[in-house]
Amino acid sequence: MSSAKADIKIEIKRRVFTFRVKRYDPKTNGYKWSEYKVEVTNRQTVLDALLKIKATQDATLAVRYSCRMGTCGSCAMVINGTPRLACETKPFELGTDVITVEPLSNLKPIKDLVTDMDDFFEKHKSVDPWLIRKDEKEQFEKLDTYYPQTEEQLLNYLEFSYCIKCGACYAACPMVFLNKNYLGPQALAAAYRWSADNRDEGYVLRLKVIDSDNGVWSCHYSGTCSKVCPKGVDPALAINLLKKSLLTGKPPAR
Amino acid sequence: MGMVAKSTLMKWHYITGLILVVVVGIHLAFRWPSYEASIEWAGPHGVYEQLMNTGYMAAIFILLYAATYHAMNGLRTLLLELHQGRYWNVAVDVVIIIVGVFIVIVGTVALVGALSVI
Ligand code: SF4
Ligand code: FES
Repeated sequence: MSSAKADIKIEIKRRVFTFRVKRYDPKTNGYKWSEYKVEVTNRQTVLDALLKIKATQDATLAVRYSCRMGTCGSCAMVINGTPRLACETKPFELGTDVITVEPLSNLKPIKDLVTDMDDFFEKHKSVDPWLIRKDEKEQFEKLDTYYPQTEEQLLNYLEFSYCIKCGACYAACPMVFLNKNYLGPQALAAAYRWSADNRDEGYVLRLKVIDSDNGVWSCHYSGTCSKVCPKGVDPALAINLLKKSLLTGKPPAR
Repeated sequence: MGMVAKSTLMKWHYITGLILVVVVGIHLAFRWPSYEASIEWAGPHGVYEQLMNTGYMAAIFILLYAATYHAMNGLRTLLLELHQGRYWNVAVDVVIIIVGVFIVIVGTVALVGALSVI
């Protein structure tokens, strides 16, 4: 038993990768590409590599991150052409020696890889992504009241509640690119998540936003949002379930 | 068209799309067996016979209204996606309504006019 344990080894491979980073300069309001060669191991992520570049080669490189474990959603960026979480993407698994890193598209850049998420969060907020009850007194004052939920009811929306608001789906959406007022996949998935929750009574209130020119009908189902989501949320499915509700006049299954 | 829910506009978009499949099918069926014969005035499959056929003419009226709605709503959606702005949205709605009403009036007058000659 003990000898078998001693045999277990974590294999560490090392390789030098070239990182081509697209950087936004707020002073010139333009972009430039910087190239860095950096050694990383097979256990490290693109975020680790960028932080190593920052620590050893170029302290001016701006990167946003927080949890480093795929939970906070701060480190989303376009890596080799696809929006991904830098802290969940390993250079060894990308299959290229040159790795391109760009700020998220469809969002205003602030500096280098850091983008302004204000519009994105405003749209999220516009769908009232919280529990709405008709009786607010009961909800906020009678705190002993609780709203029961069966496992089946939970499963109606669970997948959509895994969203970490990273913006990858929003950056991948061609309709957001075309129409800056379109709510986008994240906000609409959030609208579905709450409307499909049996404890919530806010579906009708959310209709004015989701059933508008910039709501669900702006989605033409390219499906890129669902492809890039690092958390397995399927925003395209949520949008189409909302469309189904609107066309049939039946609120989401709860 | 802020006063109408977008889902209502879209519901009619899909309904008119389905209607168009049927009425365009009927319209094309009347070009058979010979396209040339179907656009002649006289003859067993000619224009006169078509005008006399109530079912066919009903399909043509429906085609006019369904195609106008479907096209105008589609164009509106496209224009609102191409560009955004409060004035633009209002301008698009106004132009779409004017053009749509114009097509319906001209189309109806033309069809009623054709019917009046038989
Ligand atoms: S749905 Fe997925 S990709 Fe979109 S913000 Fe949420 S976690 Fe990110
Ligand atoms: S740093 Fe939190 S998700 Fe990547």
